[in-house]
Amino acid sequence: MSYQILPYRFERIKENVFLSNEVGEHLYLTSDDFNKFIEHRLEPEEKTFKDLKSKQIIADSHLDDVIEMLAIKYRTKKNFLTESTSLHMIVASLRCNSNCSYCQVSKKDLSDVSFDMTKKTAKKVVEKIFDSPSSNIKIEFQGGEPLLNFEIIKYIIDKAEWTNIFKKKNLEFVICTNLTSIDEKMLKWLKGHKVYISTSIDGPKELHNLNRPLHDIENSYDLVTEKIKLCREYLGRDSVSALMTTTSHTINHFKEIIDKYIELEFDSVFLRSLNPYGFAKRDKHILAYPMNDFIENYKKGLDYIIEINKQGKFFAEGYATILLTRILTPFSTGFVDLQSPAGIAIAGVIYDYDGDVYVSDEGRMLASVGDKKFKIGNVEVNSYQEIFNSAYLHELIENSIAESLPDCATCSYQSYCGADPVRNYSEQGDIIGNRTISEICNKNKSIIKYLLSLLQKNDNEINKVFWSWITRKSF
Amino acid sequence: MKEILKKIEGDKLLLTVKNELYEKEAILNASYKYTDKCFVNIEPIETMTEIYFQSKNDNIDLENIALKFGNELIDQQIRLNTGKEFKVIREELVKKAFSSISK
Repeated sequence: MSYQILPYRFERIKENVFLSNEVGEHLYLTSDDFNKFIEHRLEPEEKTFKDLKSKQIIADSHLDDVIEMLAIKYRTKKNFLTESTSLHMIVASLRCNSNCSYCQVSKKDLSDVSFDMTKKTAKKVVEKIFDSPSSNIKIEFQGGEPLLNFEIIKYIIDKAEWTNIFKKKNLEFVICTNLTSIDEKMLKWLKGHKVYISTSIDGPKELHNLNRPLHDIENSYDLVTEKIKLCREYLGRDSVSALMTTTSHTINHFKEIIDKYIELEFDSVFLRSLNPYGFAKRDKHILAYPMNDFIENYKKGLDYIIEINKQGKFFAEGYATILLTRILTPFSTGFVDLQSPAGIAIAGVIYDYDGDVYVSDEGRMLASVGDKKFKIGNVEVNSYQEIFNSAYLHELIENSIAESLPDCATCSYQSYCGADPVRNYSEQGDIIGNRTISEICNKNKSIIKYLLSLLQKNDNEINKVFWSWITRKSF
Repeated sequence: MKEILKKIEGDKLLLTVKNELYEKEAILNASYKYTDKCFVNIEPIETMTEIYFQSKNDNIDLENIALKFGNELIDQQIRLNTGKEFKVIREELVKKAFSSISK
């Protein structure tokens, strides 16, 4: 039979073959059908032929129209490339009142205000942010603990809002904070602006306190949960989200962590593995665990969350939601760690307290232990063009295109995944990295394969749960 | 398997493949998959290519690698063969996708 094979990738899984294409359409074939497919022996009346045609992996007519359709989907999937940098993270202060076991930014002493961003630097940062051609600007305050330098947060928000009167961008603010120092006076001020709060809850009281004690008290849990309630009173129910980080102390407790998030009235959890930066890298002999342990616990955690949803409670898992959006829709998800080319500087960027600019939060985490490989400039010294259009940044991005990276180029999960040169460098000392020993590749591939296996069951209830996460609507 | 000849000695494995069946890129891609387990060296010799594997630790089953390598090589060659068929289409697709930006 005469048909055109269109771009696709494949992988054998037991007796079947998994196929996907550039835009994430996928299906499974038996080995026999796969052989018939590649040898052009499929007949139009066969179901396999029709399936492959409907997934745009083969075409027997109207080739131009099919390519046009694929191009539209591809453009949608890569939509983040048409926007310039929209996520701008600012380190308001490197000081911190927390004493987290896994601190990835090597925080500084509470009293050392030399690690606070100054107004002079903040002014330059805001100017650089608004030089971005992006129509969407999210300013995210990071630390240390950013609220310890609340004056600079107010200054930046005020200046950004004033600037935006003329620039007319979609502007929003997020403060990533341990919340322990927030008070009603701050909240009254924040209420008048479009500010969201992102905090950290690592699980039930004893687990959270083990991972995230404060300098002066070990029980940070009671304080954080009390402040979450306060924030919700002032800023609204959906204004507060939380993240968790998995350490060796919490790896076997995902069920309790999930229950705690539900008890605290969050509608999602992001089961996040430890990132190899800062103290987390230095103390990995205490805090880390084999990635395969995380993957197995993640799967159990995900199954547990699915069951909760089946019983009528809307509660999503964040990482699965991102991946499912990529698997089941043609839309771009904007998750900077999973983009191709990598989202470094072109999707998100971070301004350190001293005005140094890094391609990503992880890039500045490396700098905090002395390695400034991912520094791309300084707001007080360099122009926007010099920072965001440098030959060095071009080189970094050219080396972070999954479509041309070893092993990623032929990986059948590529359209759901991305490249992370900073992680590769941190893990292996090389921005390209070797996939066969990459922990992040193992994690991403395993979780994607697990989600695909759940979809393959074609279980109506599971499918409904997944779609409710993607659309953020309870089924 | 006449197309792949195998020799194992201690922690070393030597596979010899026929160049008329497998392209250099397929051999490289297939070999890459085992770089976590072995040190790999590739040596073209006239119409054949020799691939040397040396285990990185004692737990590596070279017999198993020899078996799996054959299948991996076939898959890599399939990717190259079918890739040639749709190479132009992939280029056209990407060009069309971003045509509005390049204007």
